[in-house]
Amino acid sequence: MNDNRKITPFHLYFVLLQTQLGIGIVTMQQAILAPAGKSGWMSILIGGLVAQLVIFIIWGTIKKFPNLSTSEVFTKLVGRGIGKFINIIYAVFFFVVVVISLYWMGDVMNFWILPKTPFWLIVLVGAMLLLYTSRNDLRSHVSMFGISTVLLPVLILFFCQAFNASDARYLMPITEVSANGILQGVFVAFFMLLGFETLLFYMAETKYETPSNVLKVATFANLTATLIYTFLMVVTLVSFSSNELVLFNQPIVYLARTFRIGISDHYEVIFLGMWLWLVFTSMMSYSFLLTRRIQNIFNDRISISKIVSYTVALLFFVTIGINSSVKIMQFQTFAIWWGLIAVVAIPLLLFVISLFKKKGAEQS
Amino acid sequence: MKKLIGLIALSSFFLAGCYDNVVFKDAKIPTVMGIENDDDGDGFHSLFIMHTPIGTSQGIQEAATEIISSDGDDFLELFTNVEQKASGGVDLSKLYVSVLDDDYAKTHFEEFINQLTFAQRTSSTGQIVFVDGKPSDALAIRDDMVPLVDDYVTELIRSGIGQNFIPDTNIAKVHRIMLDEGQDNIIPTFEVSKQKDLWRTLGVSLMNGTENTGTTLSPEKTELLMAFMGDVGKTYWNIESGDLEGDGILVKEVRLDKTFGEIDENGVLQVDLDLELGVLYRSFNGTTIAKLNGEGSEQEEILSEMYTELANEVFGTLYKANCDALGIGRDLIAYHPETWKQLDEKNYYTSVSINPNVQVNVLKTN
Repeated sequence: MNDNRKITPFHLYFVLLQTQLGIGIVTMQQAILAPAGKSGWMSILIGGLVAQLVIFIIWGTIKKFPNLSTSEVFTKLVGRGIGKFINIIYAVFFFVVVVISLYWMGDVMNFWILPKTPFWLIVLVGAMLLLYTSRNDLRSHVSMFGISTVLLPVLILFFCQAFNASDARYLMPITEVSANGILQGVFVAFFMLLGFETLLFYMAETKYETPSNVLKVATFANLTATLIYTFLMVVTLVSFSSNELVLFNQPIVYLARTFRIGISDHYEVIFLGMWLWLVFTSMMSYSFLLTRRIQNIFNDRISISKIVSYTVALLFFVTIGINSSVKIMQFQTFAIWWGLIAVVAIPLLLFVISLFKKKGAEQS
Repeated sequence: MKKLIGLIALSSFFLAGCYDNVVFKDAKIPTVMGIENDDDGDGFHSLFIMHTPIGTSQGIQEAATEIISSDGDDFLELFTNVEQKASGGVDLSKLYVSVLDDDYAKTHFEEFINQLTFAQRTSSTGQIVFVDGKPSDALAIRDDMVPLVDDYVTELIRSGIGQNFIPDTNIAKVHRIMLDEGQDNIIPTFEVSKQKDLWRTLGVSLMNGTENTGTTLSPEKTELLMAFMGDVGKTYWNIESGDLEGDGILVKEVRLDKTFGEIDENGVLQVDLDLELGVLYRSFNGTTIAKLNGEGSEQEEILSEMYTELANEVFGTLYKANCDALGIGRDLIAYHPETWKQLDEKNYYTSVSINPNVQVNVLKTN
């Protein structure tokens, strides 16, 4: 890649952070509360630590090949055939992540803001935006990621209002949930924090002086995302009694609805507006990586515009095909297993191989 | 191709807005709602009260209230019937007060709160109050002083909460406490004064979980209970008996210490509540003021004794109603889980003996 089109480590922070913050802001609480209960916030913190381990592994692998693209690193480490196969695995993974994001975007908007609007139409709006943005290169995305990051302090201040009517006693006793419950929560939190694994591809698109700069930035992005998710979990826990929490699908949206400042009676609409932006930037990042993986699989023989058009059309039809909560659960279960391969197994495998090929890598 | 994509993108954006459009000109946006058992006792009757602008001959807009009433066997049917009567639909997002017949509340409180909590287009910040009698009568008051009953009721509740003589009982809070096994709700209750045709505060109704116990705490006791709950308002407490009769205090500071003992051999848990009130003392009697100077003044002792006695009555009433308004159970769950496990989750409050002690410190006199 032309060095001028590469992003800086400063940009990388926004890219990774915005990829990590997405649908989880709304869906995470219920998913983690089921196994971990009041200790859900601990699960997120531990999940962030596990994500950090994966960041170390990815960074440890890619830093050995500073001038190569990620696909070239795959070829170098496992050969051309398997390298292409790994690209396919990641393309499927990114496709699945975008479908899940599109689905939840449509579902949440349909439930809370646009109840009469058909689900497919909301998904179509999301798909159209992806169609427009995925054609651009990464540097063009960075400004949008930067603007989106400005929303985060606003989001935190917004939810600080919850402390006016909160009850810290709902957090206690912290010892109530078993270690097993907390660990199950860690598993869920790890997947909600996904986005850090894109370092595998974005590191090669970053112009850096020393690899440690990239590690610092990726760590800081992961820390920011983990703390934001933890904050939202704590806010949720202190705002609802435990018997009440199990009744809400998206307690954080309901919480926004209970705010009273005076100018509006429906703060959930304002919150969901901010959330939509964050979800979209996360989808944009995954969609960008997805289309580039596909282009790579076809050895750059097909133009990116064509790939984007066909991919987005497929994303749209698959998403509207998942029209029930049962199907999305099945799809998410598949995503988890596929994610374990893409996020944990492959980076670990590449890292181990890179240890043996260290000498060759240094020569390259 | 680009033009086609652009066209689809634009149409999808515009279409998304079309389905959920609301024509505010036609929509009915009630601010007050009343609900009661119907005369037969097998269904419900409701009233939705809203402002309607009226054009006059001078072209000036005046406001009047419009009432849509409806009957139904359940909340859903009730609401569907109201929607049918209102041509532009009914939008409950601005509903500020829900007035419940206290008989209706005895049987359908939980159902009502759940409906308002989970309905998509309702406001979670609306207040719940009870009336002694029928809301249809209470909301039918006609007086020169009250041309718009919805304005009157919302202002009454707003100022009551602002001045702390009634608790804030928004739907979100009531729903949260209703489902909390370690705390109970108290709901403001009113009656319509026969002489003046205006609302009068009866105090608060004591709830036990989802059940309205039928016991009401007087306004004076409610204010003291709210001080125990940490709510300091601008309310002026009149002293209505004893040597200090006619004087009053304004509570400025509240500090509560809770001490939990062990469960004794009779299965009773002793809880000591020490409430310290920092007050401004107002008196029209110069001698009283003179005596108030210095620490541990006679008046402070009298006030402390008087409010300790009142607190004993408050907690006695709460005990009889099995209403844990203070959230003693919540404290036990959070900080003394082992003690909590030894108590009966449903009736734990009957095993708690509360020993209140109020210490009044006069910070300033008039």
